[in-house]
Amino acid sequence: MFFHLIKYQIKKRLNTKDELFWSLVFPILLGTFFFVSFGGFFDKYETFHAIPVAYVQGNNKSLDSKYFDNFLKELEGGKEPILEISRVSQEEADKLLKKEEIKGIIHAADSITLIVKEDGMDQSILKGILDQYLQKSSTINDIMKTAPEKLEGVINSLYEETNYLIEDSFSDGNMDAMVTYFYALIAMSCLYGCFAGHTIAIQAKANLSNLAARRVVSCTNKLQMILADFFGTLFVQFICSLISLGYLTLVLKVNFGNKMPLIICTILVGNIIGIATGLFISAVGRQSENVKMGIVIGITMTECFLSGLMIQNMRVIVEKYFPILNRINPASVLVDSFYSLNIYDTYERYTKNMIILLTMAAVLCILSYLTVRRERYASL
Amino acid sequence: MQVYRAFLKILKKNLPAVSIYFFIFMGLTIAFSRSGNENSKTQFEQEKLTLCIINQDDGGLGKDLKDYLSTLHKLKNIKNDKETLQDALYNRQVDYILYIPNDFTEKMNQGITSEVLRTIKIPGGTAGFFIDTQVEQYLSTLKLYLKADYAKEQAVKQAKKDLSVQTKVTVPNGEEVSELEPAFYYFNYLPYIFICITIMGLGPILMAFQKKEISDRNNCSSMSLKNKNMQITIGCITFVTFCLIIFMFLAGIMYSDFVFSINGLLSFINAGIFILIALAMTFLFAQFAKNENILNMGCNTIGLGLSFLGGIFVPHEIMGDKVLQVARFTPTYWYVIANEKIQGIKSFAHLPKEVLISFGLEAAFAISIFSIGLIITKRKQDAK
Repeated sequence: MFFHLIKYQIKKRLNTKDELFWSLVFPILLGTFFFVSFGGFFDKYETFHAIPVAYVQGNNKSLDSKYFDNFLKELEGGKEPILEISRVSQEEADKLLKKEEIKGIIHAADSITLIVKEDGMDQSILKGILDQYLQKSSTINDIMKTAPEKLEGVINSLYEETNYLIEDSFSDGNMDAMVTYFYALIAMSCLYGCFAGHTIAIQAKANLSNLAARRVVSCTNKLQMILADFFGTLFVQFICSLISLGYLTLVLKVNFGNKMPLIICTILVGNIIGIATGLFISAVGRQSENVKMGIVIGITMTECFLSGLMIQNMRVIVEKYFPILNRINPASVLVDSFYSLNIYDTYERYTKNMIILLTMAAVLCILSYLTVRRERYASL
Repeated sequence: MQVYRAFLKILKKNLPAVSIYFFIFMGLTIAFSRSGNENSKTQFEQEKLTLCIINQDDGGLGKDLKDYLSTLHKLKNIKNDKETLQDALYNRQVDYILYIPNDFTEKMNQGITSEVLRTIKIPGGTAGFFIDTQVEQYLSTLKLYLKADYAKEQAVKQAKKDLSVQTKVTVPNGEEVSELEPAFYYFNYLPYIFICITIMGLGPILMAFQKKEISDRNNCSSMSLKNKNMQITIGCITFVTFCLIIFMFLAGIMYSDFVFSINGLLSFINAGIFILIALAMTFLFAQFAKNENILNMGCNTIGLGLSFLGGIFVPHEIMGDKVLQVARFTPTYWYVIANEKIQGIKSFAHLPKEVLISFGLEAAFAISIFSIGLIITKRKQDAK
């Protein structure tokens, strides 16, 4: 009987096109919108690329300009060039700057000047590079004046290979902060199980639907009925979330880190909490079906908003002013779980999150069942 | 005017659903409007980033390096705990983490130039590259003075003096580094809200008049079809005019200087043309929608889709070139282009042609979408 009920619940879910749209199509559409809008942000804005610049040589060619030319050549050569230099006339350079094809113009005559159109990281790096040249010249001049006997050793040491800095990293996870939007999207897809949870409650409360009135007079045990509805719904919801995840990782190539089995586990737990939320809200109280649906949507959307679906660093803002909210908001806990799996090499925080979510789901399910069981109606 | 009155009655019933979008809009505008205190500047300013320096060196050079970097960037004290630092770097609360080990001074004195400091940054990132070059420049300058047998204190003093030498940076004459006004963001989010409000507000009404029973009943009444359609059209125009007035009124309260200027007038025209596009889209979509759930799905998909693709939520500069080529086929793209160009206008004489082109294209979108809607209505009627 139990499996028979599950089978029919699954069939019913697959035939409810409205719910399938929100659980399956909408996350895929929103994911695509996110991807086309800021999928390239990390590469375009945060990753270093050779800076396009124009180099204009003035008429006054002193001996220094030879050193400066060599200095620039070194910067544009090698495996990972720092500059992409166009050697052009002043007029041509002005045109390129106006069309924003270059970030700045290096003008070398009696002195070195940088011409830029606006502030920015590339412009600051350009200035930093030119500063290096001027500062090194100043150092050599100083030493030449004060300790000329050491000059040869100093100049030789200029050509020594140095690597003062060693780059370390906390983890090999994806550091692109925009992925947070996709975490929030998956969390949303899980929590949209609340619509199906709402339907389970409507199908179990005889005062809310004709179907429920028919079902409660049958001889089937109510716990068995609700559990079958729950597992049938969970199955369909889980498949929808997995399809969304598959689309994001395989088609859009969003990098969620390398712990896929645990991500899938998290999604399952997310679906449980989503369905449990809808079930609980619609099981308690005597409001009409539409009012209950309004409350379900309102709560779920607020949870998603606070987890960063609309504003990427929302979770950080909440953490600063009201951290407890991040511990009890299922959407934020889900986002934090995906984040912990991506970034940390330990599982402490992830395990804590899973315990929070499972406890919440268990409490919601038990409370919902206690509300629905043994309900009697004087008249319907 | 029975039809018009029935129109307003249904509208009144739908107002709560429409008002949700009004609050979403207010939230978006307040969350995203940045202060416009820096309207223009002609001076170049070097980028200032946020660093976390964990200095364990007790020889003195570590502190000198920290002091030097504090003159260039903002320093942030964060607990030396792996998880806290990881979170801060991921959330871009710091751009760069620098560990100065306890043997830093000793190594520098011995002339060791390899792996004296440990850094953590976004791999391959621009910010990391920028600070790396500054730290390396400091260390290499210091090394040259130490190599020349300067005393430690003297070497630091000389290095700092040399590092204060700066390249002259100029901004071409007449070029002003300008930032966008907060009103820009207000007008930029309007299309999303217009699409949602018109679809959710007018969609159910248009659908109601198209219901088979109601439409059959209306058709057999003495009122002519022309008269009925005219009243529905007046109803739609009342609704969009009312929306436009409310949003312009709000803009007038929040950004009065901007609204009561040539820029405000042009923004009003831009918004006015766009609400006609939203109206045309609602008219077209109502021909397909069978119930309110489908209307709701369509509203979210069309509203969010056009907003993301057209550059309402995310600036065009961030979007890829290929995406932008596709975006040209959306009305929202041209709305955003017009909105951007309107910002800098000082008089009608300097009206950029992009603004007029965008207005024209938006109007063309409205007419074509409306025409498609009309063709579909005609086909439907013929099919009957």
